[in-house]
Amino acid sequence: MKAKTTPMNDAELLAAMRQGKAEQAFTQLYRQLPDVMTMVRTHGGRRSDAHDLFQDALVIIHEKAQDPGFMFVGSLAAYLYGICRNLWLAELRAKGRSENHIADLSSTQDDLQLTTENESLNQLAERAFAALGAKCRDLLTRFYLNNESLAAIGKAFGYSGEGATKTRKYKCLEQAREKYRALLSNHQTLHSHA
Amino acid sequence: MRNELNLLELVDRYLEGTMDATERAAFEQRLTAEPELNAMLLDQRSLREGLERIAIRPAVAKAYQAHRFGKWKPWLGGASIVIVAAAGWTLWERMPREAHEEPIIEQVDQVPVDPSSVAPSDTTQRTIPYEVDTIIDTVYRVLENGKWRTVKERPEGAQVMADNVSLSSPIYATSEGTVAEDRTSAHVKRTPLPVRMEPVEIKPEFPGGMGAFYNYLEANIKHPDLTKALNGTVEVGFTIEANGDVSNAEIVKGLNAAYNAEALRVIGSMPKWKAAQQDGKPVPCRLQMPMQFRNPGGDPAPSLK
Repeated sequence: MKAKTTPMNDAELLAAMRQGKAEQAFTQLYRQLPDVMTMVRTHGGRRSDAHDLFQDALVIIHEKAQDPGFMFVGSLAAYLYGICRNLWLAELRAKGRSENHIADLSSTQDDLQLTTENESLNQLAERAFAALGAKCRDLLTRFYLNNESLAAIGKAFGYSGEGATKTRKYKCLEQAREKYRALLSNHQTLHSHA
Repeated sequence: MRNELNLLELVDRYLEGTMDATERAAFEQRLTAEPELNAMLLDQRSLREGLERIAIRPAVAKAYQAHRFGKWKPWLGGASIVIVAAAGWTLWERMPREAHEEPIIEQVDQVPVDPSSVAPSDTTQRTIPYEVDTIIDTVYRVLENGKWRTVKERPEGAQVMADNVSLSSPIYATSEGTVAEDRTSAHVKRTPLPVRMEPVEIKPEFPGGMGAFYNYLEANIKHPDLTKALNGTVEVGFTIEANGDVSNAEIVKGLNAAYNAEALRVIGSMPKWKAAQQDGKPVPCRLQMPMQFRNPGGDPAPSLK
């Protein structure tokens, strides 16, 4: 049930992302989806590619927004579009096909390549967490993102004390780390074959 | 364990910037001296970034739903109207905004060279201009009423919820239910490829024609292990006997044991061919062809959405 609101300007969008109101910012930024969809589909991609790309780009923008010194040329919407274009370019390059699409997309110069080049690498940690059990993920989220105290977390999970909670947290993190390293070495093996 | 716990705590405090100048200096000294500690720091930094990312994904999914349906909710009620709106939105998205739609798997429309048009006096090698390429495609399966139904595209708004250890089948969730990603199907891209044959008057033929042969390969060739998918070619040779049986399949030039076995398996499981003919009589004929395996995605492990 949304009341009609005027669109947020860039400063407001960034503020929303920094104050835990990212969903509002994302909803507005989703207006860029059609343009991204067109770009991807006219360069050898499918609708699902465009959707995936767009989600990744929002996650990237959110990450960038947390840096108080974050700056960009033009509008945030244009920045988002630029991220998407570079992400798609990187994917096409990884697949090693569609030379004309690649040439076409790389003809626009910007400095976003660094941001998007290693996206598949950057996602490995995410995937490590996705492979973790829900309990571990919940514990780590409460600790690192919600800044809950060990005592509070211990109570919620029914652990015997701070020490037990701390150990649990460490073990969960170690699990995540192991999965991450496995994904990392797999990623490196494959990319050396490309 | 105690020691590791303390180290982790140190690393976390360093990353959060809650160390004072002295502590920080001391810690940075340790980093240069202790590679293990440095590795822990790098990992922890990546992991914490990953945790933040995965935590923001639900907001992205919700924003997508709000973007799709948010405008309509206050004004309309009833599922049917929402469906119409969704259909309308989908149609709008499909309108001729896009200049042209290019499928991700390119099929080259090439008419096979009619073998009888090649002079029988060509004694060295006769080739059919097709190339067989194996690339990985993805299908999705949606769990509905306890059964899996295959769909071509990932349902919109799907977000990965779990990734099993084999790294090849993530589970996604949408607001409607569960979706699994299946990357085990292979696709064949058709561009010219030399299938070399012994010179015979009438070539042997796969049942249904050479187009059907490539369909068969498409349906049956698989990377032996998707988590270690390679780029490479296996050159196989085989004989089509006078009765159409496939025999003497062998590796002419291999890739590795697993891929060689896969190539032989596919050849060995082919149905009977129509035998070659010479002077009006069926004769055995030797064939040789490259089977190309490609891993176009580079990283075959599933994407996290």
